[in-house]
Amino acid sequence: MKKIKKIIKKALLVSFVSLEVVLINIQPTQAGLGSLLGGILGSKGSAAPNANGMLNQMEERYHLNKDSIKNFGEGFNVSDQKSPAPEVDIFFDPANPKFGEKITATAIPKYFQEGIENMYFAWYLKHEGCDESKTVNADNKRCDVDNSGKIDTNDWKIEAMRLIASNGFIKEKADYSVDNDNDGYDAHRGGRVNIQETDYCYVHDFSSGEDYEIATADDGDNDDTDGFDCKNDDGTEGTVMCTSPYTLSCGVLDGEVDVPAQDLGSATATGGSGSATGGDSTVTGGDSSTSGGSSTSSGGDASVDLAIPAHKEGLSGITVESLDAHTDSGYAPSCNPEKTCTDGTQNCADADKKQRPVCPDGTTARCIKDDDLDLIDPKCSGTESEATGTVNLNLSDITINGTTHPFYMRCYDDGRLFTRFHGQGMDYCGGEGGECNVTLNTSTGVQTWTFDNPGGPEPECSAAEKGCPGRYEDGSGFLWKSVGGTTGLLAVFFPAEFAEGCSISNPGETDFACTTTLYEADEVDLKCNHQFAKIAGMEIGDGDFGADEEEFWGTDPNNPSTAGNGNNDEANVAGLGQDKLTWTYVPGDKVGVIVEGLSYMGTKHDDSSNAISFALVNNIFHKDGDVSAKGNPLCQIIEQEKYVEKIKGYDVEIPFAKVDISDCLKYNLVAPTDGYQADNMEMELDYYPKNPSVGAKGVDGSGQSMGGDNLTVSSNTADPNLDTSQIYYKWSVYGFAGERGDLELDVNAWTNLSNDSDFRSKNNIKLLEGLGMDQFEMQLNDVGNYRFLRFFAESEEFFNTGTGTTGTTRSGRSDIMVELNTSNSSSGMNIKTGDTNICINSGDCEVFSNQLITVTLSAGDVSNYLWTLDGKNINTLSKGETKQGNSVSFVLEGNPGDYHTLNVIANDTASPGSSGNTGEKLNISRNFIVTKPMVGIGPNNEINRGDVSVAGCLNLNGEIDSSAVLGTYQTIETGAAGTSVSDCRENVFNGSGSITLTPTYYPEWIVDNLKNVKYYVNGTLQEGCTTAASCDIDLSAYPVGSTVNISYEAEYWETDENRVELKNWGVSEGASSGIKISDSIMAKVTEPANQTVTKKASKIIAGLAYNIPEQMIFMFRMILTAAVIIFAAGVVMSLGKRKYN
Amino acid sequence: MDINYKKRRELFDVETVVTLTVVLACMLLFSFFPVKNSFQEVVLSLVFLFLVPYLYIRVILKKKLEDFGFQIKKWKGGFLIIPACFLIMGIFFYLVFEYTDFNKTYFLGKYEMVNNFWYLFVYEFLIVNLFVFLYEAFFRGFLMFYFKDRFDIFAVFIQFLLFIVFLDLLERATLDYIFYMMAALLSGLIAYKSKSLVYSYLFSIIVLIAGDIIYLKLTK
Repeated sequence: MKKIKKIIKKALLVSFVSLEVVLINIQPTQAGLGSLLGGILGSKGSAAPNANGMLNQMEERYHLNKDSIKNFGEGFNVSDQKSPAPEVDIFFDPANPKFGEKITATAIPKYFQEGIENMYFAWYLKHEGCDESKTVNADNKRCDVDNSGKIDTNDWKIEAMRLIASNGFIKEKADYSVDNDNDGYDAHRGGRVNIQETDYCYVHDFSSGEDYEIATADDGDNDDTDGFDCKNDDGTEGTVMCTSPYTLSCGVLDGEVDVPAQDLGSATATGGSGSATGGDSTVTGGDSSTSGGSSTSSGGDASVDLAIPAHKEGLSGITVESLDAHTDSGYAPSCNPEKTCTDGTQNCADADKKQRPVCPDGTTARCIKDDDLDLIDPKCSGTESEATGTVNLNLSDITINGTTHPFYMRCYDDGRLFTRFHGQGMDYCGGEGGECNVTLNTSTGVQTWTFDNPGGPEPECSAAEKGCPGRYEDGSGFLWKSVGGTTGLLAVFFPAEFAEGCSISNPGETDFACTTTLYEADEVDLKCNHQFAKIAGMEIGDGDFGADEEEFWGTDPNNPSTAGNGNNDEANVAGLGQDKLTWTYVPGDKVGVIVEGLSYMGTKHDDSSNAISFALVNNIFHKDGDVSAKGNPLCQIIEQEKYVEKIKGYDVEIPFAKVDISDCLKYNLVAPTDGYQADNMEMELDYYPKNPSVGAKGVDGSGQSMGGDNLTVSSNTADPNLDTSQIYYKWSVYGFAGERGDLELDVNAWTNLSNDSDFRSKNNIKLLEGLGMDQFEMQLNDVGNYRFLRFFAESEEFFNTGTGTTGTTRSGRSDIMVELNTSNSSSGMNIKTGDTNICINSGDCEVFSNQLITVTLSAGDVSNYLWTLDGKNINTLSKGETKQGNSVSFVLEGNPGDYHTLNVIANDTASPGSSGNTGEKLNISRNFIVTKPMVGIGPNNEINRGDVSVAGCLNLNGEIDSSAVLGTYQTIETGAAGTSVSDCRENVFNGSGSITLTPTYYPEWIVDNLKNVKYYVNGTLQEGCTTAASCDIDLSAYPVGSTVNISYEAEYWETDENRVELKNWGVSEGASSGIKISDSIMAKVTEPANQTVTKKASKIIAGLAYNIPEQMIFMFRMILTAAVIIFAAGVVMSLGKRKYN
Repeated sequence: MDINYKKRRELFDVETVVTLTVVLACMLLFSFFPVKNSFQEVVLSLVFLFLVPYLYIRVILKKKLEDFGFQIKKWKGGFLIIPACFLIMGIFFYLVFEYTDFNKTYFLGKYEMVNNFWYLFVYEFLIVNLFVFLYEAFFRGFLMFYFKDRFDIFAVFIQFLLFIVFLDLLERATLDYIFYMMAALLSGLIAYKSKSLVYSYLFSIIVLIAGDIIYLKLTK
């Protein structure tokens, strides 16, 4: 279709250009527009057209670039060879048929005029092993379906068209002895609706682009070579061309001349009355006119001289003279194959009857010798470029009465040369009767003529006529002066000795003969035939489809349309409208189709005919070197000739050639597995979501959990019948860290990330390859500094060709780039109960039943939020708010172990006209698990069991205690010895001296919300221990070996504010009251390590003192200290006084 | 010559050194002696701020308590200087409340008991009173009156400096105790003039209670 449009555009442009050329040649002859177009066309103000000038002006006017026009012309010259020719494509369904599967081939014709239903589709089907053969043997006998004793394309056609016509009809059911279904079909050439007078079949040579009528020539005397009888004097070939006449114009359009001073008379006035008489003065040459007049005055005498001083006047509108010239029309003469008389007729007895060159009307065939080539397209030449061309004038100067005048040479109608002066003849030589001395000064001599100025009587005859008034002549030259209008100019005609004349002889010869190989129309036999299968005695498309034909084609003799498709049986055999062929596929099968129909290409014949064309699937109508065993050409367009037909008065050449399309069918076969289907699996990748966001690194340790989008990349194949579960996929992920402008398609510029196990782990990539893995999933948690990810998918499928046992595979590959949304907003959930941050660790978030949880999303640029808890929307709106903000509160209920999932989706989408919409978005989830608070006061307990911070089994003094080890766990690791983990006692601990209990809490955050913290030793409340963090207990007072019971209890309370709020949520005060936690251990008092004698003694004292009330001991210490101070002071004082005394 | 010799002997004799050592020992022990509850704190205060000085005066120095301000005979001198000290203290109050962060940081504001009159009464007249008495007895009575004979009026400043050091040892040399510091200086002057601890004690207790009341009035 594009090509057709292109041709139409070219045709319009050519038409436009042609119209312009015609108009500008016609209009100057019209009086009204002559002067107007004279300024546009021609050269130097000529109203007469000049081909070169016209084109130059037209280029200027329409801004036509010469190179562009040249390109267009060059393209136009060969445009016929570029015109689209009918073609056909074949598509298969399924594209990858398996053995024994029904397959349908569909033909899609192009560049035919009519619809599919009106065209003929001559299908042919070739099975494996059914190549053309002159002989039939056991192996290929099945292929000889027409029992002709050979395998040829006819068998292929019959094989295919039987399928269409019979449509699976079982012949055995039919009685072919009678046929009364009247299912014949008269197949018009070129299609069902073609009714043109003469059918012209064409074949298009796809290599040269030429179209040929399919025809053969009668044997004629066309062995001569083309040529014209046009020689130079030296025997070489002259130039043959079609010339067209034109008028060469040369002259002055504008300029400036000197006008001499003129005396116009005088005026006199006398006394009281007087008169003055002037004169009339007319200056012609420019447009100047001065009128005097008469005046009368009184009161005195006066005299005035009237004169015009010398001055310059402009010239315009001077008519130039013209010469008949000839130009190359651009047409090349053709040689008329008909013998022509010298007078141009065929019917004469002239013995010199020859073939003559012919040119288009308005042009003349000329044989021009090289020496005369300058006679074509003559140019103006001479001084100031106003002299005519082709004249040889040696004149260099013209003087009149000693005054040198410029001269401008022109040709007169009779071929004489003349010049014309600016100014009337009376202006020279002192006016009428004045003596004129005209001198012509040439390079060959000087000659002077002397005569009286003839004056200015109105000429009553042609100026060229001798004896005409105002004319002076002397021999071959004369002077002439006339008056009146613009013709009253002084002209000088030159004697022949000064000029050779200015006629331009017609260049070259027009009467010359030629020879040609062109045929005449009646010498050519058209070969326009259908390409149906041919069966002896059973012509297809003859309108008769008898019983024998019914039997041959396997159709139902009692059913006019065995195929049931609306066509009768013979029409189906002819392939009318049968653009589909369905058969049972056997690997190795190949099909083709000959499509016959009317193309868009009109013939040159003088009727309504369009070309009847044929299309083949591979467009091969000519195969060089394809010859039979005997050397006869087979699939070749041969005998390419032309014949001439007189059409509309022109000799139109029509190329024709001979071709047997059936010989080309073997080159126009396609198999379903040809092309991309067999070895390439078309695959496209797509991904979701379209603007994926990258999260942070899971949990950032400050209570803000962040996760990226789940990115899914899916692979789609064009084949809907593909079983993806049987396809092996392999995925790989590459990253690119630069900006969009730095992107490179070369994969070497990308980093393979899928090889990095750390990357896979962070981003939850599990599978990279496997069967049926047409989707690839990952979570964009941490992609480093990569801004772009590129996903490559490779697929491989076992493909059963059926030709062997090994089979083969076909593969596909594709890739897609994904730009990541890596906004740096520190998004995350901040989860609190009261003022306490909870959920500061990764994993599930431990909460209590009936606990008020407040979650705040610390997102940077998002403004819209959708909060869901266990999939249900939740909202927390303050008074006056109409939009959910970045914080919600909710109460979780349930038994220990129950799970809840909180999710928030947020983005920055703003209403129209508002700022925002940067694509910022978040999707974060967090799991909550309902639990009960716990405490463990031993260094090893069920809470810190297995914790990496616990180096080993400890005693109450914080020292490694091997006796506390119950056993060890051994971790299982692949390829390496496992790590030993101690299993510690958690109820009974050794301890000595002062110990510090540091309880472990679960969850950890409850430590700040504990009340009524109490530590007991053997049931005695430890007064000094009221903090939940730790408690110092002195075991020194207990005998070594004794066992001390240490217990701990506390209560976890929600804050009062939370409890008040919980009441609003329907949680009673009782349900939100404190949760008691407790733990107890047994401390086995041991001997302190490195104990000295002194320490032992003090220990005894301490042991004794242990039972004395603490306050008494303190008092004792105070008194003792005070006594020591006083005693010491007294001793020192007494010693000091003694010394002074 | 004898007179000069005697003066040097009084300034640097053993008694002075021992007395100063006892003072420092009491201050250090009061500061660092481990206690576990309020009872022990009270006992500790009584022992080192009153009992030890009393025993030292009576046993070692063998002097009367009257010499250390426990008398009221020369009341006129002290009575006259009290108004001037109150005036100074009033100005000081103004400066502190107006130009410092006392209002924001004073520890009393952090306790709920100030909202209860009886709690406040107990605090002021039991705890504050006790420590004002002990500080008067130790720093003005024992320390200043002992050095008064040797350093004259400079004894006031010596006891003031040692009181500052004492607060610093207790990590209480902060804005919370600014009135204690000022009161130490002015009550030292009063005691010095009146030779009695009665006036200085009354001055201190009035000033400190007044400071708390003013604070509460301004902030509550």
